[in-house]
Amino acid sequence: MLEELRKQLEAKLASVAHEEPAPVYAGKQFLVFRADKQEMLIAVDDVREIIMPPPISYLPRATQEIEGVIALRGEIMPVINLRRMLGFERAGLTASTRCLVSSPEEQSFALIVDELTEFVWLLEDEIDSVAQDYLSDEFKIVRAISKNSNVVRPIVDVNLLVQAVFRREQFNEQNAH
Amino acid sequence: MELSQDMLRELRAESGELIERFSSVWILMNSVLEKGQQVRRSEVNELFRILHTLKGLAEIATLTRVVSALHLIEDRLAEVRAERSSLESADLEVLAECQLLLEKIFVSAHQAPNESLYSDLEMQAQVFCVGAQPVAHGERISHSCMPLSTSEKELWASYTQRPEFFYAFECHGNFEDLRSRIVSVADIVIERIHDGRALFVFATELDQNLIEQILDDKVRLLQKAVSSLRSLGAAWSGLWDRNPQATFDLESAGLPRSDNSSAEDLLGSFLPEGSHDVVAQEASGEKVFAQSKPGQTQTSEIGPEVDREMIADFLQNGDELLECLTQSMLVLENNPYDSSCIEEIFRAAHTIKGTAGMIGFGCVEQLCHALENTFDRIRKKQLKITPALTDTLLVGWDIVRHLFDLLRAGQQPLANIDDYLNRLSRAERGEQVPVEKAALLNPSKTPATPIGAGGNSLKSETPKTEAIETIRVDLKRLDSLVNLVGELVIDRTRFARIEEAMRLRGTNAELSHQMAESVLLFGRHMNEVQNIIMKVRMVPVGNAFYKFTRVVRGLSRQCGKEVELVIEGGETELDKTLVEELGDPLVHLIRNSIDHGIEEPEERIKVGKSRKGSIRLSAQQQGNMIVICVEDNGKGLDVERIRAKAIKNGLIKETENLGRKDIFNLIFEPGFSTAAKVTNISGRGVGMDVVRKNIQKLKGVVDLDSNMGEGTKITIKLPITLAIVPGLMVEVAGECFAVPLVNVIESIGISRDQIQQMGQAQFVKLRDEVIPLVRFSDVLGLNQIDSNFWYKSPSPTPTLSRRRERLVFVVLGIGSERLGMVVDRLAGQQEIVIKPLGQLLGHQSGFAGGCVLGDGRVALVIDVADVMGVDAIQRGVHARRTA
Repeated sequence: MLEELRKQLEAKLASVAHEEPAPVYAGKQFLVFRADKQEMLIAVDDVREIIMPPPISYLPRATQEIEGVIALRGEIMPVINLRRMLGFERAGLTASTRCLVSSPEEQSFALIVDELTEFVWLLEDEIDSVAQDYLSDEFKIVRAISKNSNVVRPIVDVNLLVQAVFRREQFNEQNAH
Repeated sequence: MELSQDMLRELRAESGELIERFSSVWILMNSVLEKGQQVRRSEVNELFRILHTLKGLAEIATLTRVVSALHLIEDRLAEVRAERSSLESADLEVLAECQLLLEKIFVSAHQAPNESLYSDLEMQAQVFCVGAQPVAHGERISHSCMPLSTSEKELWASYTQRPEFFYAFECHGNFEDLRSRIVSVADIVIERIHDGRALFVFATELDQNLIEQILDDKVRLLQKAVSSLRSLGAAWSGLWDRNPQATFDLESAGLPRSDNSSAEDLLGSFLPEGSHDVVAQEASGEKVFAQSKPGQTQTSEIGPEVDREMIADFLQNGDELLECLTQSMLVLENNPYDSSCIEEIFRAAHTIKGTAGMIGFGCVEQLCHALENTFDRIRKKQLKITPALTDTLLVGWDIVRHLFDLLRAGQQPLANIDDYLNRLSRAERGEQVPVEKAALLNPSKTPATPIGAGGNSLKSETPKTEAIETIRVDLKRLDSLVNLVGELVIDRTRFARIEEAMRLRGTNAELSHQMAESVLLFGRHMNEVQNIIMKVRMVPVGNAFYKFTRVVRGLSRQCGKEVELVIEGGETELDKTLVEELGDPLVHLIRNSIDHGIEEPEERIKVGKSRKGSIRLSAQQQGNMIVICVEDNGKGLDVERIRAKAIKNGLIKETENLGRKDIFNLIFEPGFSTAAKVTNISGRGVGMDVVRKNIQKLKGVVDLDSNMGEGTKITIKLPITLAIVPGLMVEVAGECFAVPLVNVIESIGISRDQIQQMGQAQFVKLRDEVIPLVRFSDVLGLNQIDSNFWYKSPSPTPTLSRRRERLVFVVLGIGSERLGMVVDRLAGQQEIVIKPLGQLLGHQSGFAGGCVLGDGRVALVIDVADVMGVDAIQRGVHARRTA
């Protein structure tokens, strides 16, 4: 009985070895989204989930980047209006509007984006870091840019985003020099 | 034996509880002593029990040195119990030290052993044991070293028949190293540390030269007779001189029963393998307990001091162990070589034996001892498990269970077990033994008298012992439960809404009626569940507070000040995790008070204060917050000095004009706290900034106020974790908000002409009261909503036209303050679960949080206190302008 089992196991192992290896992509995966006319990237690892925009409750006297709050499975979190933050034109909900939910260090927030465009894999040399001085204030949430398509697209850094929106004082200090 | 992670966790949890109980009992004892009275017997008993169980745990964790140290403490406590000795405050000091050491030892049980902790504990235990002032003899023996304990005498006696030599070795330092050398080649019979010297008396078969080489020092060969201890010199005279009538005769020793069971433990850890039974056998020639004669049924009654609680405790533990035992036995039946099962059963038997012995259930003790021996031999592979043996063992556990039942029914747990014991030995020898359970249990010859018929224990009218049932629950599960209850509240609201809609739309009357009933019942049950769940995680803060009395005592002594701790509102309940997290910050604040706040006694008298300073620790519930204050009547804070220090440290500029409160708040800034400000922080890195951060982590706020010369008061406000409150839903500017009903005085429709104007402010006269009026949108800042709210979803209810005749006027109130608001419309009353807005948003002024509505939207919950404060400031501004 044991012999039978062993033979079966060996046969199985042999067959598996001949299979095609699973395709491996090099580099890091990014989600490309659009805010107004600007396409931007965000690391897939940073995005916890993508949801249809839920009804948002207005938060009076919040900073201008914050649209309001939503509840996701019982958890209340702020929603960032990226268009307003980056100084783009006002717009409302469209059929393609989505919310990206991110939880850096267990502190959750949602981000309104106009459309999800694609997923890309970027290699190291396709990512360039950006000196913060070159960027205007609103764009300081970008840490790097991608060069894989013809257009250079900024990559949003979630931690910088959190700092910029919620910890303005610290953020300003850091970027003062 | 390696302990699994689970076992270690259990160990930590159990020992943690025990050490806490140790603390509580200590506090009781201390307060009694401070009043000048004697420590009560019940407390001594409780302490004994606690230490005994800890000893058992220590043994499971193979902390043999801790076991022996605890045993020494038990010895002394036994003397106290037998009224041959009494506890003084010096003894309590030592006990306090022991408690701290035990805490450290058990907390780090999973790491590498810290030998210095063990040595400290041993030393303290010895000091404690020595403190025994023999009331009868009236002589002080604290100058010489401790006398031989009964277990040591027994151990000595056991070696008299054996071939090993006795050596005595004295040394002046390097105790740890030398001890470990000795242990590697010999068995230590006696060890003492006294006056900076250590004495080891040990037994080994090696010859003197070899021993001297190993120890790098001279040793003295002793004769087997105890009198040879005299040759050790006057320093160790305590060993043999204490009681001139001291004999090594076991059977006439007349030892208290408890000593024997603990002697058993100690023997087990000291003797080389296999000799465990040898001792017992030598003493009485049969495989039974050292003290009792063979074939004798225990008839002793349980004394009156054994109270109900003890028995209930014992039964509860015993039941648990038996349960676990039976499971293991079943596994063992199928797999006789499962060593972990064998270990478990062995340990369980051992524990039951120990606790039974301590309380005085001789029969249970004996039986368990026999079973334990059998399992010991099994685990040492000296005995093979045959089906006959398993059967017999199972019968044995049945008898134990029967004895427990007797006990539960209020009777003596006695039975004639000799028959069984004989069967057990025969089964061990491999004989086939018939399994006949009925025949074994001969009903006990003694009449079933209720236990302690003459004492303050089980009442004879109530035969059933009510066990105090508790169960330990994983906190994570409780958390999930609490969250789910919050969700259920929302679901209940949805049901209510659906039911309402059904009713209004005229659905089938019968169906609608049934729905209404169900919703009502559901609501009622939900309320009950809510109440219970909320209470489940709540513990009285007093538990944590009372621990601080020790801290205060120790610190005040250290600083040379006299401080007393006054605790108020200890019964206020707070979530368990909060109470635990508060511990460190509170200790730090108390330390600050003692170190820097309270002045020295002479100085206090000079400024006209009482000699003793006091720190008041109070807790009370205010709305949905718990307020905890640490207030001292010390010298207070000097605003100018703080200001100067802050400027020096670069926190503020010379030119900045800060109010008093703001200056005080600077103390919480990281740049402010100076290093090494308080002694003995023991590397915890606690500073005022950390205190504030910890409180903020709990979503609370901390505030400081002080008056020079009068004292300092620190106020901590914490939100109650899950606040489920009834709320009033209001609609303003198309958005839905919730107002805690507790702050809503009334809501009423008013007409526009009822609004009266006085300069910038508006008022409404309601009956006899004049209530200031504000627009909700103004107070909350909804005016910018159109430009700042791009993704506004269409509201479920149609928006109303702005101009209406009757306005909805909601009167809010806190205490005696009143404020009126105009809202667009009311949207009903419902239970709301106030949830925080998220750590990223922090505190938003005007809002206590958010609540999730039935349709998944968030309704912001108004913080009425904030709103009324804001409004007051604004009105103040208006007032100044108009003045």
